[in-house]
Amino acid sequence: MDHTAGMPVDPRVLEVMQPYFNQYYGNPSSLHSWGNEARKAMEDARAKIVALIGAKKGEEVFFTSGGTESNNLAIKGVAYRNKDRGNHIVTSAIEHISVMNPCKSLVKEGFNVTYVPVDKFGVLDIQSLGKVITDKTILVSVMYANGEIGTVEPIKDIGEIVHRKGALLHVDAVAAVGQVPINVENENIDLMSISSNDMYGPRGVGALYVKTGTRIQPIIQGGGQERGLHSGTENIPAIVGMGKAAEIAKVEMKVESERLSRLRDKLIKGLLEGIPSSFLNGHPTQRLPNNANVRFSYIEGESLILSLDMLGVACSSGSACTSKTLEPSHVLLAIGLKHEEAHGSLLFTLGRQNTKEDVDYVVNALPDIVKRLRAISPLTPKELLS
Amino acid sequence: MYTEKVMEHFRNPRNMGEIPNADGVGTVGNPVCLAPDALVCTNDNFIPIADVSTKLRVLGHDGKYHRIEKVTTRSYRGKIYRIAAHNLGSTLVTPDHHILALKASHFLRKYRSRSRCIRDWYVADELEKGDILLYPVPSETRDTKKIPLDIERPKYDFTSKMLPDEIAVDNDFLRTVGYYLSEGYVRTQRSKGTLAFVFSSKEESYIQDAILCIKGTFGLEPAEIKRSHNAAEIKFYSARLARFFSKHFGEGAVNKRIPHWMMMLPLQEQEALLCGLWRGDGYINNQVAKFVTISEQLAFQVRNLLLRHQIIMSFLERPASGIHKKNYSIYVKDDKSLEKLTRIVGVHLMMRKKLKNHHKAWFENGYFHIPIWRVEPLTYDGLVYNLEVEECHSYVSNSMALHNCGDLMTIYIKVKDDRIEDIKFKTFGCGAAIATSSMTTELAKGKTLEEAMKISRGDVADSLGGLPPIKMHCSNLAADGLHAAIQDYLKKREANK
Repeated sequence: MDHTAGMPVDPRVLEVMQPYFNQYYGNPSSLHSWGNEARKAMEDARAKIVALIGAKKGEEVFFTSGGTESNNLAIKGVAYRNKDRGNHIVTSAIEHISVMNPCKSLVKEGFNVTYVPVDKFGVLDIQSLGKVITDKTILVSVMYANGEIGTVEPIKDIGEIVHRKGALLHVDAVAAVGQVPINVENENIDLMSISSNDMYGPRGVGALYVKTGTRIQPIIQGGGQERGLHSGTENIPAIVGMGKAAEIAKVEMKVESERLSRLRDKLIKGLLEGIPSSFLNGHPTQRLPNNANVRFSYIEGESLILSLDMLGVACSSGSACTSKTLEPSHVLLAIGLKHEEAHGSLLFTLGRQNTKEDVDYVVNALPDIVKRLRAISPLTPKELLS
Repeated sequence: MYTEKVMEHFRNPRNMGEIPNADGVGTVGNPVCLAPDALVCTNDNFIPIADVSTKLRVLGHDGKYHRIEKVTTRSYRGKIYRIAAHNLGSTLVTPDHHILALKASHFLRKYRSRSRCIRDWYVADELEKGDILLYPVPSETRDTKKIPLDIERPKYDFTSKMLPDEIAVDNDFLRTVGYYLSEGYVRTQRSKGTLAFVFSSKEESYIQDAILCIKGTFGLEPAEIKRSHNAAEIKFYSARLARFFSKHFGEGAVNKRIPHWMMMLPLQEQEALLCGLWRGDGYINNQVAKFVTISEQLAFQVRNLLLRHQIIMSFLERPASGIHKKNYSIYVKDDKSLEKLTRIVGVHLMMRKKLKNHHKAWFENGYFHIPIWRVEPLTYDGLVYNLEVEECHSYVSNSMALHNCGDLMTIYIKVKDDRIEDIKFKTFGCGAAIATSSMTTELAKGKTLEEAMKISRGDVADSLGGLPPIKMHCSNLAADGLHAAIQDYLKKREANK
C-alpha cells in the first residue's frame, strides 16, 4: 500500500515495450525506415498522452526523463526565458521537493520566490495567492494534487487568477494524472508535469505539457531532440510504454477511481473508528482516490512502518526518523501540524492490486500495533491504556 | 537499513513497562542544561537563560520563534564544556547537551566535503575542534507598514509642532532609526524634549540625508545645527518625538535597541536600517567593515540582522579597559559579504579580492555554519537551566542551536545488594529507539551498579550489530537513561542514610 513510492509496470505496458528494445531499435532522428518506425511509435505515444490530458496537439507534449526533470524544466526554463519580464515566482508551501529545490536555486540567482500558505486541509489559500502576484510575477507553480496528504487543489480557479494577472501557471500533476480526469485546456494550465511510473508505466520517463505560445528555454542542450527542449536520443521503449500506460489510464480511470475511492473511504473509516486518538490528514472529500493519510497521537511513524512491514504491509510516513534529514515532512508542517503530530503520521496509497481484503487486513491489524506502541510510549495518557 | 538484531529487539522488546515503586528512575530527553549566564535568543533580545520566563518566545532551530512551555532548573556539580565557535563566541553546556552540528573533525581537511558530514544533534561530549556548529538564521518575516506614534500630546501643549499620528515604516524612517541608534541622543527631562544627532563634520552627505529623512517622515525642520571644528550636531525640538524614540529605541548609548517587529521586517526594508546603523557606528573600506557599539542588545541585534542578510561576520566582546567601556564589535571581512554590505551602506569601493577566505564560515540551507575552535572542559558547581520549547523542542544560544527532546524515554530499576535486580523501560520513538532501550536493559540486568555505569552508547550499538549513522545520536539514549536511573538511586540512598 505504498504506491506513491513505486508502482509496478502494467503487464500490458511491458508487452508493447518489449519489441522496441531489440526489434525496432531505430533512432527516431534517422531518415531511413528503421528510424521512421521509431518515430511513428513515439508520435503514437505522444498522441495518447495528448488524449489523456486534453491537449490540443502533439507539439505541446515533450518527453523528459521523469517528473523531476519536467518540474525543473518548467520552472527554470520559464524563469530564464522570461527574465526580462520579471523575477518573481509564486509557489505553494506544500510543493514536491522537485519544485521546492529549483525555486531555492533560482533565489540564489536573483529571483524572488513567494510561498503561498495552505489551510489545514492543504487547500491553497486563493485569496492570498491573488494578493502576492505582482506585475513582476512570471510563473505560478502549484501542484494538481498533493501525493502525501492527497488534497486536490482548485486548479481551475487558481488558473483564472493567475491568467488575470498575466502570469503563467505550471501544474505538477505527477500524483494526479491517471487518478483524476485532467483537461489542460479547460483548467487554464500553461505547463504541466506528468510522470510515467505514477500511472503504471516504466520509470525514467515523463512528460511536460507546454501550451503553444509559452516562452520557455531548454536546460539541457544538445542535438535538439524534442524540438530543442530535451536534447538526447529518445528513450523509445520507455516512451512507448508511457503511451500505452496513458492509453490504459484513460480507458480505466473512471471505474478504477471509483473502486479506489470506495476502498480508501473504507480504510479511513475503519482506522479512525477502530483506533482512539486518530485523525485524518488532508481534505476529507477533495482528495486523490488512492490516498489515505492518517495520524495517531503519542507514537512514532517509523515504528508503525516496521511493525506493518512485519505483517507484510508496505506504507510510508511523514516522520523525520524515516528521512535523511531531521525534519518531518514540510507538507505536514505546512498544514499546521506540530512536529510530534507529524511524527505519528502514516500514509497508505492504494493501487490496482489492492483489494477489499487488503483493506480489511490493515484495519484489523493496525489497532493492535498502535496499542502495543502506545504501551511502550511514555507520552500516552493513562486513560488510553486501560 | 537495520540489522537483524535490531529488528529482533524491535519485534519483541525485553523488559518493557514500568516498575511501580522503583528504586531509581532515569528520564532522558531533558537533562541538558546551560549555565545561568548563557545568553538565549528570545523575541525580546538575547537574555541570560536565568532571566527567561514563559512569557517570552525563543528562536528555535528552524529560524522561527516558539513559545516556552517550561523553564527547568537543577543543581549540577561536575564537568561542563565551554564550546567556542569561530565567529560567534562561546557557550557553557553540560556534557549531555544536544547541539546541532556537522561532524567534520574526523575527516582530513582536504577530504572534508560537506555532503559527507552528517547533520545531526550531537552531545557536547562528542564535539571537538574542527566540527561545525549550525546556527539558525532568524527567518520569520512580518511586514509592518505603519506604526502609531503612541506618545500622547501633553494636555497643555499648544506650542509644539504637529506630528503625524501614524508613521509609515519606509526607508526614510528606518534610516532615521539607524542614525538614531548609532549617532543620536534624546533629552526628555521635564516637559521639554530634544532629539539630536551628532555626526563628524566630514560626513556632510549623511547630515543632509538625516535632515531630509526626518523632514520626510515627521515633517520637522532642524531647530539648530551646531558645528564645531570636527563635529556637527543637529537638534530637533519635539517632546513627543523624543519620548517616542526613547520608548522604542532606548535612551542612552548602553540601552539602545531595535524593537522586535523591526527585526522581522522583510530583508529589503531592513537594508535601510542597516545602512543608517553602519553609517553611524560603522566603518568600511575595501578590506574590512567594522561595527562597534557599547549596547549589548544592539550588538546582538545587528548580528542577527547581518545573519538574515547572509553576511558572514565575526562577533567580538571586549572587556572594559581604561576609559573605554565594555564594547562589542562586529567585523566583516569576507569578499562577497563585504560587497553586499557596501551596496547596502551605499558607498562605492574598488574591491580587492582576498586570496584566502578569512572566515571559515558559510551559509547553507538557512544555517550559518561555523567551525568550533576550542572545547574546554571545566568543573562547575551551581544551578543549571533548561527550557522546554513548544513544537521545535530547541532554542538558540549566542553561538549554537540546542535541543531539548522532551521526555523521550524512562528507565526504571530495582536494586538488591548493589545489583540491578529488575529493569524496565518506556520509550517514544522509532525502531532504533525501541531496540536500543531493549538492548540496554538486557545488558544491564544482573550487573552490579558499577558495571552498569560502564555501559556506553557504543556498547549498545555494538551488541545490536551496529546502527545507521543518522540514528546513532537521536535514537541511542538508553545508556544515558540507565546512568541517570543509577544516579537517581544513589542519590536516594544517600538521602536515606
